[in-house]
Amino acid sequence: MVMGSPAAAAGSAPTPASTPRRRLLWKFLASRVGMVGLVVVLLYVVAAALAPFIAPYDPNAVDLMNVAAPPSASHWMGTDQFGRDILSRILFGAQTSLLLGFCVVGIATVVGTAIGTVAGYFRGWVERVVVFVTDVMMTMPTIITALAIITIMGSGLSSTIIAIAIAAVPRVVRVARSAVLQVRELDFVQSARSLGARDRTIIVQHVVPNALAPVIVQASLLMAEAVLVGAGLGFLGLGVAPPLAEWGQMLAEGRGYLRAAPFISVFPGLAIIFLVLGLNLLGDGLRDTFDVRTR
Amino acid sequence: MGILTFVGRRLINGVLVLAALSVLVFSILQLVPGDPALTVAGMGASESDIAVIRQQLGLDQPVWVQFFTWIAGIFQGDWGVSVVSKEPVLPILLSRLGMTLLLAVAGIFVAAIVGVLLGVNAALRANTAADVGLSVVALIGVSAPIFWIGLILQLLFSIQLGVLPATGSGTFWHLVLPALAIGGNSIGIIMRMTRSSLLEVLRQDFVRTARAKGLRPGVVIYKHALRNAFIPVITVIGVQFAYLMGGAVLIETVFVWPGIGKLLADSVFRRDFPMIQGAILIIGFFFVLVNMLVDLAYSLIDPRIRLG
Repeated sequence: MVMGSPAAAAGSAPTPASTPRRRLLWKFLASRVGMVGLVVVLLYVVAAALAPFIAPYDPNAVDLMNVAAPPSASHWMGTDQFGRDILSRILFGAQTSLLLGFCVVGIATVVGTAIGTVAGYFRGWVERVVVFVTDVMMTMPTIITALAIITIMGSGLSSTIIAIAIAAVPRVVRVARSAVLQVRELDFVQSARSLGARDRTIIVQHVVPNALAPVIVQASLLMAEAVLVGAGLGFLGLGVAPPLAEWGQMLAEGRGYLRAAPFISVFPGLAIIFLVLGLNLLGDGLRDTFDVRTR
Repeated sequence: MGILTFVGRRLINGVLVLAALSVLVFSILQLVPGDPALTVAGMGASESDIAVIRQQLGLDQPVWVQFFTWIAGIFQGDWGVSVVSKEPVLPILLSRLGMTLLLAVAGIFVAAIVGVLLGVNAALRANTAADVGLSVVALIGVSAPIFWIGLILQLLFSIQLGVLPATGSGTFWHLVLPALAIGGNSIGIIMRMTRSSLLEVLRQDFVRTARAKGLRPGVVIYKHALRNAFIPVITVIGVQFAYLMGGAVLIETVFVWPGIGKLLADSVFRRDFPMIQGAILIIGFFFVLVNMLVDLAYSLIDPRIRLG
């Protein structure tokens, strides 16, 4: 995600276009919290991308001679109740969770920013309706909205993504709208308007690029929540369906073996925690970099 | 704005939100692909069963008539009949709600006490190793899925130590682990908010005055500073309390706690639509109520909010 269009940056100052951006980049690189988060998230991305090559076993290969085997040299995290290699399933599970997270954040951010911008820029009754609908949707915890949508659409990867994305949209709308409300009063926006620029031009070139910082911060925190809710739905058996490996579902399957083979549930849980932790740290780092106050 | 006007406005807003929410909840059944009568009747229903249900649900009427019939039923205590057990859903929902409230109150109680105490400690030791350590623990607490926290608690206290029951309900001891687990995320959030809010207040002049006139540090912190730091903390506690309803879906499943969250999850699984609609409506009602009480609470603590 990069800030704005070249045109907006070039128009804002006579200095080289990359200077403010480079300053932000340095600020981010200097923020230890954000860097740790970024490294953790990138590790997951690499692990997910390389899963087919680095996973020691086929994640769905059943080995009934070797069920619920504790961690050993051949199975670093042990095997589950069907003898499937837990490490391999966690690596492939990273694909599922990241795919889900990125899709949810992508959809919710684009849709939410669009709605929030229109509401904040044009104000009037459009804004009032948007704010009211947002308030209504925010009366529900994300997972409950998602459950309602899954009731309608059924479970599976795509409906899980859509369900969480719909539940997340109002959160983005709120952040985008309040950012736009501030930006639209700034001098350069007002002067663009008095020069007779069209609304669309003003929104695309001036308002959105300058209102994006809090939305980007929100996006990484939103992805953390999406991963958690996705895992929660998987845990309930209402999310991503087999044969896709999914951490929440792995964790649920281990529940019956908690006494004899706790590692079946413990490792997928740790996989979730570190990814969510990384995303939260990344969000904190971005917040410091952009100097945004969230809620 | 007087306090009554403030309460009045919040009430009207709450009613509007509930009205809109009920439209959304009503539309769940309309949006399910296929014939709603068939969906409600379930698999293997006979042709005549479906015809009866179609008439019962008024599906031959226009949608808006159906909606107002449904709403009228809600007001008269007729929330529909469970597709699975064929019993009226409202009594079941209400009895389950009681169990969830018990769990949520216990959970927020633990989270508020532990969170505020840890937050005060972190603020007083700001930027020491202890503060950083607490922040890291809080961050992990916020990042952990609560169903995993629940499983770890079961593993530790039920399986390894054998001191607390892993699942079920009925005694005080059954409440301990689920309450800890459901409050787990909130502890971290409340702690962070207490820490930052208290740090902000401690920098202000009246705290310096209180210190300068020789009050004991305990009095300065707990009587003067904390009181002023409390508004954002109360907001967070209120929001967390309402959000525990989301956590309840997961935690009640982990601990087989017969609350409304587990009921909702089970009902989605069984596609028991009247039950799903009822559960979501009750959770929404609860949420609106809590938000209203939170607003009211801090308008009482800080009159600037309703005057401003």
